[in-house]
Amino acid sequence: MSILNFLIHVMIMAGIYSILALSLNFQVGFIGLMNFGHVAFFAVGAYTSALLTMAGYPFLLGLFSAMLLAGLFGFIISLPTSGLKEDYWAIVTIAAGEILRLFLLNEQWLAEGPFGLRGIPRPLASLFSENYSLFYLVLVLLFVAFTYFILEVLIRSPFGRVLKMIREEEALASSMGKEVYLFKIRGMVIGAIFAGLAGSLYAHYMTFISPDHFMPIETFLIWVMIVIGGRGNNIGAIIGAVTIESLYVSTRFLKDYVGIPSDLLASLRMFMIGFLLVIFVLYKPEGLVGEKRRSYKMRKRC
Amino acid sequence: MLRVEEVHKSFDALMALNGVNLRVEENSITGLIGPNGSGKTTLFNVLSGFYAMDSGKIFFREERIDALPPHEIAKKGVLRTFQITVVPKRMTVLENMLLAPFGQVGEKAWRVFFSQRAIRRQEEKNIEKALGILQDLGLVDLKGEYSGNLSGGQQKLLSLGRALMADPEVILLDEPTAGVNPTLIKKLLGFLRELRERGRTLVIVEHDMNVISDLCDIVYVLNNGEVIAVGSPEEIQRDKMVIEAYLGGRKDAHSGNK
Repeated sequence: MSILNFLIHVMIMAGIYSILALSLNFQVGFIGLMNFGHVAFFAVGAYTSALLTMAGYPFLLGLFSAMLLAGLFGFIISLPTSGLKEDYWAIVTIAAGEILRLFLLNEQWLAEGPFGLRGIPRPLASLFSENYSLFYLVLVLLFVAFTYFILEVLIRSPFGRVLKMIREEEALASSMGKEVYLFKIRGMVIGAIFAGLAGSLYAHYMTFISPDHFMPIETFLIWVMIVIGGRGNNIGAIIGAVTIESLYVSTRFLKDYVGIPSDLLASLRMFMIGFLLVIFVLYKPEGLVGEKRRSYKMRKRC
Repeated sequence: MLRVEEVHKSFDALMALNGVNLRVEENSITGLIGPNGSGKTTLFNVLSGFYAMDSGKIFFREERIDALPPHEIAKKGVLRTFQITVVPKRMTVLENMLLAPFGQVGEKAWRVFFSQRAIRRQEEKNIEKALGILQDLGLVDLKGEYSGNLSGGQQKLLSLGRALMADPEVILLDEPTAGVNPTLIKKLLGFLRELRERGRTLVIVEHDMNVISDLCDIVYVLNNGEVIAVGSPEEIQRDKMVIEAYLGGRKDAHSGNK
């Protein structure tokens, strides 16, 4: 693998994880929903898109359905849980993620169980034979920009203001006439939709997915990204995703250069990321770029 | 305007409200006093829908509101503030204010993208209104500050300002002067009186008898979850039972309660 191809690979993965980090940040950083099962929406998106395109449907339909189904899954999960306090919400979302993964592992009729799905078609593969990954990188970056734009507009709107109030003081939000659980459900669904988008992009890039790709550790990684980047700041989420994902992917190739066996390297990698997390939580809890204060344009000065 | 009939509320063995009756007339300031643990804040929590009561009825404009959740009661026009100031730490003073108005177009997620102009117009109008209220409360210079950074007294004022942004008909104020400095209290009282003049109805929980007699048209005295006296501030201050239950024990009454 040439160094350029490798860089492109890192950037594609960083882009996909940026979308995941942005969507988790929307829930965690702005609404205060302690979602520890984010990987579930990622998985729903990946499997939906893979199954549809393998059945011959076009990529865009797969992508759209991935977002729709992931959003639906978010809706279903949040229905019984929207009244729960944040710690309980965390437990329920972990459970939901694991239930989905175990389902995918044990079913045979839908997606080959533990063997996973192979040969997921790549969109427009015939047009870009030589530099396909470059095309895919552009595609991913476009979707990162799209996700960033949509979430940023939402956060800066009156809708986003209510979300922030729910994060800060739930009782106050309801005393001001805001129907808290409806906002939480919407937040869960919106975050899930974009995680589904990331899932679809992931499936078509990897061309192979299996339940092993959707372990709870993925959610943990996305959490580390937003904690290091800065909760409540979308730029921070992207910076965190790029940092962690570059670190994660590039150490995989370190074994060629240093004499460390690969299984040891894998543990070492998680150790490094865990260490980084501890450092940040202790010394820079607001992350690399913290939340920005919202200012409003005034028509006249006073 | 607001009528409370035979409200009971108990926490396990503790009878917090034991058949409370209360009438709040339109365009008046009603005071609620009583020793710590007499049920004042519990009554507020029941009125605003945060606690479900065991039995009784609550009417607002002849309509029962006692089974409604907090946000529904707020939207009907009965808004409360909290005794222990509940403050969103990482939101600016102005954001606090802008959050309050009901029925904002931009609170619906999809309209954020399709009704940009209507949202902008509404925001501009609300910003102007917010700045006016902040000016009255002396908070206008702090509009860009995180509300978590304000002093306790300023947070009290902000919670009143936030309530006013929603144009409620009735405001339930839980110890609005606690932690506010004396000069500001004077200003605040003038402000509350002005609100009554402008047609608002206020219910105030307060420990300071000076504030009560200065402000209130009618005072209810609670003790052990029961109304032990009703009357004008002058009548209340002469009432033997009140003196015994409350005013005699004023020293204790000043320490914080929950």
